[in-house]
Amino acid sequence: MSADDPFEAIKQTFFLECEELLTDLEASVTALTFGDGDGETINAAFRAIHSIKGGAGAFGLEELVRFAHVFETYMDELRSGRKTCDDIAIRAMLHASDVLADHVSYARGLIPSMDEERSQTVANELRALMDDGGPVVAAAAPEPNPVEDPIEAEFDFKPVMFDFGDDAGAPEALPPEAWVISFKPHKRLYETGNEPALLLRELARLGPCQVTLDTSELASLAELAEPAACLSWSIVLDAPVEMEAITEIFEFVEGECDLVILPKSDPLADVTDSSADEVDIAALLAAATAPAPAAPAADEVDIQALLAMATAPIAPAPVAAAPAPATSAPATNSAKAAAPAGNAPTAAAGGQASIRVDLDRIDKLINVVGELVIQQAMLAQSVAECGIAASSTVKVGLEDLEQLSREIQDSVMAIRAQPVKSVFQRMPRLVREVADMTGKSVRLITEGESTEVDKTVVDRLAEPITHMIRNAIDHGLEDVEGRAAAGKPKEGIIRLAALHRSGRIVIEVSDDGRGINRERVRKIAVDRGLIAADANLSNEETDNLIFLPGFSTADTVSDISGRGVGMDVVRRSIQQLGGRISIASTPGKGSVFTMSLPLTLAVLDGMVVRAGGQTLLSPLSSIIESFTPKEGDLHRIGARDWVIRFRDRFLPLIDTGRVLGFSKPDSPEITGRDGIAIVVENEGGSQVALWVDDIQGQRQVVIKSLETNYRKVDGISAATILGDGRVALILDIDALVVLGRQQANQSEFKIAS
Amino acid sequence: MLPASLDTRAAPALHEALMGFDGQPLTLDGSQVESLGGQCLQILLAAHEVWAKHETPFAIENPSDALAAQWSAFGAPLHQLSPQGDPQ
Repeated sequence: MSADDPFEAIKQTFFLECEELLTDLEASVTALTFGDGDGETINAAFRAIHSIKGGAGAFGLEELVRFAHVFETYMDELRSGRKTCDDIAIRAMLHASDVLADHVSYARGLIPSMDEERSQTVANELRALMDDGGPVVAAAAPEPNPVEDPIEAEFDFKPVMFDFGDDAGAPEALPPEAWVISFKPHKRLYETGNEPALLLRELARLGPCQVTLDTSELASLAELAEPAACLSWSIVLDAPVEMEAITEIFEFVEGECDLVILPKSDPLADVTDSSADEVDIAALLAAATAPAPAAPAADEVDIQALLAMATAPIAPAPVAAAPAPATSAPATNSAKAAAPAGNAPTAAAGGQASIRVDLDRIDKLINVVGELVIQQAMLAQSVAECGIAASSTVKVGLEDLEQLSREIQDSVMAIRAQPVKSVFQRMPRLVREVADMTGKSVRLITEGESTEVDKTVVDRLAEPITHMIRNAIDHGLEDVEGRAAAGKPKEGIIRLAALHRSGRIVIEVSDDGRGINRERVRKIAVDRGLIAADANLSNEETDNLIFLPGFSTADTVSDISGRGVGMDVVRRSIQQLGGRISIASTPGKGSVFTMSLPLTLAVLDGMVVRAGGQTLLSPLSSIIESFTPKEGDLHRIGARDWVIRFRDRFLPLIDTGRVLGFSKPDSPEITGRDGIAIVVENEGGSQVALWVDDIQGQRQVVIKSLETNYRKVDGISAATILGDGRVALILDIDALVVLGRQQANQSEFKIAS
Repeated sequence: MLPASLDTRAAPALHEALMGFDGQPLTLDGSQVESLGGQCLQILLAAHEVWAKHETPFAIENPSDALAAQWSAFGAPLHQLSPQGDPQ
């Protein structure tokens, strides 16, 4: 993909839009599944599919267009009420939306191959449901030839070639010089969010148009409280275009308007009441109702019209043009919101309330803002050192600057914040697939989809959530018989919720299944040598055993989970995000997995400490308490290990400076130095104490990656720059604990040998 | 003052507003209009007829470029836009 290729860029935008449209589709179908759907829900689903199809046509994505077309046709049947929206229909829709998503992913190159067989099966399923095979269905037959010469298609929106009723008589050879089109929208055209204005504009793009408005059927003002359709148009298109080019424009509104397209040379185009064999009855009727196109009104009107056409902002790209008729209604929301003054681009293009920005640019901005905050802190410190009076203008100005830079930082972070919806929306499909595989009946309930979190966190949430949901369905929920035996409803419930809690985002995955079988968990852990046979574990500790690497409770290794890479992988990926995970399980009632994650990976609240002469930063989230130990609290165990008494317990004590190699090997032992113990909790929930020289304070810092700027260092997760310009390393508590243990083992080994 | 967007959704509000002015001379400010759809066009035309019947002035003044362009793209007679609703 070359960034310079504008066409490619447009295509990427299209795919981004597809993502959103698929989300909408999923939401609509889900609503229907739960029975809260109505006509508007089906309409929304229809529009989403329709827009995807439109865009795909412009890019020559034939398979996608073909499938979308079948799906769309089916949705149209539902929408019009010709088919009822029952369970079978919803099932078909679910399958079809999955396949449609696959088609989009494939076209985008995200998945290597397309399961054509499945696509065909689902398409056939849809066709089978539309059994009365009218002309619409016939057009959906698999051999439509979608996009013409792609070069010609370029910026002209050309979706699938559409067999528009009876065009047998359309001239094959040379297109006529000009066309006469009479177009009378039905009420339904407006109701489905289409807009004659857009259709007329599309027409104008084919060539010069003389548009004549017919208001003969105009209702009185009083009657217009309800949507009505009393206008019709006749258009003289003075361009030798193919008939198809015109029908394509009206393809979106097929069945929602009376439409007659005739070559200007056709006698029927001039007068109404003659008869021609090729034209069907509907066309005749429509032609009859449309008065003879009164010799185009005043000349100046036409010229005005033409000029207007020429200057009217023509949607610049197929992406914008194609889905426009279907999306114009929602777009206007943003137009209203934005309400820019003057004569900004109009209608279809609409005033947009959001823009798409390359993520790199935002990252760059965040980086610079990070530097700004650091620089500001440094400046503040130097000013403080100069001993300037607190009331001086320098001081006051500096305070304002501080306020501003904090505001900038918050705003920039807000730019990156995204709702978790993008992750949540992938889950219904996963649930369906896993439910099908396990033969269980599962219903997914999602809450808090609009909860926002930093984009990097959102991106990395998908994997752990996927694992947890699979796990919940596979291990948590009982099968249908099991549920019946337990007196529960047949359908198992998985709840996926997101919420903000004390500056972090909390994601909960809960099921109403059998809960964790602690006896079995314990037995397995003992069998695998993960715990001692006589270990005395609390319920909570037992539950947490499932996070141990290599632990798998499934008796049979299934495709879904239980390959021994289950929950420990989940825990690791959450830890990498600076989060933690916990379980609460009630036997027979179900389990709740709770993940708590930082809202951003760009800033961190930490405690500045010194150890071994170095300034270090300990993440505040893992600190439980800090205290100055009294003499006698410290005890040596073995050769070099220390424990510390903390609230009547003994915790392992890690000499931070020594473990990280800052202290000289011959530096005095812990007892010989003043220091402070910081009690921290690692991700496993166990507590250790870190020994540091002193604590300097607490502050929010901007995280700078050590790996990209230097290399990975054991026990250190990242770095930051403090107000005085010095680099401080951020401690990776878990790695530090592991490191401490390893060194202790090594030293024991040395002494033993 | 006509709103920026005169699409299908805006139609009911426009209708209601116009009904409220029934019989009074009315001049609408079209300077903010960015889009005009069929439904609103219908309503404006119908309103114009009503006002014309009562021989009350009805006009849209200062049409924005977008409004003028859209109006003529619809093939609607332009004179209705001009002040005084003067038939040509």
